[in-house]
Amino acid sequence: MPIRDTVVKIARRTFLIGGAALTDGLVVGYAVLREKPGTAGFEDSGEPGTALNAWVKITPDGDIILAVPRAEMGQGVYTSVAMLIAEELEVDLADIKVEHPDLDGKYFNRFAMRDQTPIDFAPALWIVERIGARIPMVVTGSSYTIRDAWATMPVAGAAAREMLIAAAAERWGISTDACIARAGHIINRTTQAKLSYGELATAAATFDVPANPPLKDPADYRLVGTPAPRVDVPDKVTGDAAFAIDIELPDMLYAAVRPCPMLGGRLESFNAASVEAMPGAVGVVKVDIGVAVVADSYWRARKAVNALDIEFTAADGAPLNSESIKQNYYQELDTPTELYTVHDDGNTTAALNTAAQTIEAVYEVPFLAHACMEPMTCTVRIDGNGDEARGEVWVGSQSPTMAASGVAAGADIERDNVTCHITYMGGGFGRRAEMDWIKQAAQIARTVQGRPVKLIWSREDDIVQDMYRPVAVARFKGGLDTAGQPVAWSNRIVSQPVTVSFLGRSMSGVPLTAEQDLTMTEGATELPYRLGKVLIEKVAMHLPINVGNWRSVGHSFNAFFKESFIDELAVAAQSDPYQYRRELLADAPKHRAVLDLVAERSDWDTPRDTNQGRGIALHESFGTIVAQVADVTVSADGSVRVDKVVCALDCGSVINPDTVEAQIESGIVFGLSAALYGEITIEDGRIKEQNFPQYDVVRLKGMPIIETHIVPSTASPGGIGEPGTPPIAAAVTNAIYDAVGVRVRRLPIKKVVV
Amino acid sequence: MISIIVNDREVTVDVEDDTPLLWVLRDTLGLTGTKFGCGIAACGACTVHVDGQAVRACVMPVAAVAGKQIKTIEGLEVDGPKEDRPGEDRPGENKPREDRQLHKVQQAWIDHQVPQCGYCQSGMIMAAVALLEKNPNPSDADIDQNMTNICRCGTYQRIRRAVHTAAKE
Repeated sequence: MPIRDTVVKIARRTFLIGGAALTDGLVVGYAVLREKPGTAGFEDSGEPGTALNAWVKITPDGDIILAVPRAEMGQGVYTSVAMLIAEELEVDLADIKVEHPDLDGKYFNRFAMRDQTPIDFAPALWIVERIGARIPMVVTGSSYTIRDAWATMPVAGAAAREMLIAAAAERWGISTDACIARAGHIINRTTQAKLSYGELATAAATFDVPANPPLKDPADYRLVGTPAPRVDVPDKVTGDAAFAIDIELPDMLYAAVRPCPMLGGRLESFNAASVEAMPGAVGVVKVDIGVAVVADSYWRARKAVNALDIEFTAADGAPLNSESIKQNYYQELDTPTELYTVHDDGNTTAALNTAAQTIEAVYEVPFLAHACMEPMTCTVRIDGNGDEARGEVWVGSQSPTMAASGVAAGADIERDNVTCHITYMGGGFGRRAEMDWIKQAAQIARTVQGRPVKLIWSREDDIVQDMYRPVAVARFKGGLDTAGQPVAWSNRIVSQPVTVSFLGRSMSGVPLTAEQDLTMTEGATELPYRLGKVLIEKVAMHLPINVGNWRSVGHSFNAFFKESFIDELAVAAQSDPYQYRRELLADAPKHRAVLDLVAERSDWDTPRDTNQGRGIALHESFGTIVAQVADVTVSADGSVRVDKVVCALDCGSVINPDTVEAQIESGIVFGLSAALYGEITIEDGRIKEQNFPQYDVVRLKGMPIIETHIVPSTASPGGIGEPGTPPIAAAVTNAIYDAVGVRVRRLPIKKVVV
Repeated sequence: MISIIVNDREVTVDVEDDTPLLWVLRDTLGLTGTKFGCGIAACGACTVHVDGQAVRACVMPVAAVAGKQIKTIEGLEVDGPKEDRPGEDRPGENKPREDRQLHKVQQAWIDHQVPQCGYCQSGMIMAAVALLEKNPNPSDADIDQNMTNICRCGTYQRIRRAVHTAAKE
């Protein structure tokens, strides 16, 4: 039960950080110190400059516990990170337990961090990486990628293993060379005597942590690279896995909110008396963009807040509308207010003018919601007042640091006085990297001191208060020579800068301009193809609409734009879309290998039936190259069915191929939902689609067969959570063109007008 | 006061008649395996069985299921101790994992490594169990037609495979 889990976690944490750790067992803290960021604003915001990667803990009873301070939101990190440690520690995955350590600023400071605040786990690092990539001056030399786990987690395991070997050698009075670690034991090579890790842990803890323990040759890996079962799966089939919504604490209260339905609108007044007499109601609280009711059960809170007399006022000026926003985008496409040149080979216009053939196309994608299966949920308890006030939060957050900041901001307390407990997440996709709902929960909890309050957003609350994937519009111009080869490629993208929006609401100390924000053009500038003279421009839009990191961010639209336009060039060149791309990849052998693999495995050349089509797309993101071939059927009424998707990828070294396959399928389905149905519309200043199925997604009925093929590699790993998403929309629209000769340039596809 | 039978155990709850079964299970009885996803019966995260039928508990007033047999994800394990009150102990909760006997659908979900974030999977499993009780050997088309739950992680392909595996057991 959640209560018990919480208690156990706290107890373990205390054990982990207490001085007793050194006498009761072995704790290896492996820390990578990094340069502090180079700008005062960034540092002052309290965001991290140091990474704490992992802990290995072995109890005298022989329990091996790996602390993985990373967020598990479905991507399998509890397992893959544990595999990297277990490999070097010489233990089986079945014999270890994984813990998500609770975040506590003091804990980090005291334990290992030499007065620096830690970067606490991967998704936070991912954010910092994004910022870092965008403001090189802030984190020069401090970029942090998934490769970091690849490079550092094995060291944590190896360091612990060497300490255990040292303890055994001392016990036996032999040299460490005469000892070998196998399956949770140290073995005396000469006598074959064995000592378990549990027996050795206390003694091992007296040795220094080796800074450079010997590491295995990856060729000798026995666990990494195998399809190991995930450690979190058993609890996820019994209902035992505790998500934020499942937290139960003594004396808990529940809260439901009614956010202002008008974007940018404000709360005018409310009549608390209208609900105070309702059963179970405890209080009515004004929050940032609405009103919440606290009650003794969620349902009572929900009913009361729905019954509450509230007056909201619309934002000043004309109400926002998707149609007028789009018109604005198209105006800016032609006559930009804020134009930046991102890449310019020079003479692109001249090359276009002298080309044998020119092709022009404009593409468009809408706002999208994240729609995580678990709506935003957060439990907060605030105790005390003033400088002594303490906060505690239980939440599924991609960033405990942000969660602590959210509580601090909402309850007006010191960030260091906030303790975070991170739960499993019912989906993240970038949404749980925000702090807005956590702040809201803290605003509510501070009014009922000493009692935990669980805020649960309805699906409608979740969608209307989302940080959306922005609208994007792009115009391409391509010039071909007489042989159909590109001589010029011009691409102007109009969109909202995501990181500017994100930082503006969450880390206002971090300066970032639209020019520095690379999200608008990520995926548009890294072109593997030979395209002649290239010009990439962006036009920044500034709208009063929160935009956020949506699985693959700018790649989500730029892959669609770029891979659609390449397809249009192939058609103009009267060339096969696969062969055309292949020829243009003469300088990109890795990309070509992935493309060839997908063509081979999809039987690219086999004929299609009437109204069936096959489309191809290739895109690199997050260090992983992905190619997809989609087979579609277009019905007489214009509805589109995706029958099959074959995916090939080069993601470097693979830690867990089963997780790679699962994440690629996941990324494809996420992108397919957006391509086929995804659209958030603003009408008269309000979000129109507020729940499923208005905001529809792929279900079993629309699920294609997906095949995933991985290119063998010994290179450092690339990402896998996001790269499956970007190419799918273009693979599908290119297949639609192949089927019925209609070019879809605007998402979602909905129905094809044949 | 309303009496319902949850995982073979009769319980009486003191809630308003219109309280959805979902919140009675979760907040009153502490059976949090059943999830909230949309509140309008559109996503299936809250799927439980009422008299053997898969229903969406988020729109089912508790008064409408008075006296009926309700089964949740916590009641699927075949050897759950029936004397436990729901909300205090889950069937099999205190037993080591290896001693627990999972339902064949749960086991198939593990065998095929279906869950990712896992939030929708209680509802998916309950929908699959209900389908297999009606149709012991469903085709892909039967699965697609009968299981309309949403999974944002896109685990559908593995769900199909796991249902077929469970059907063979």
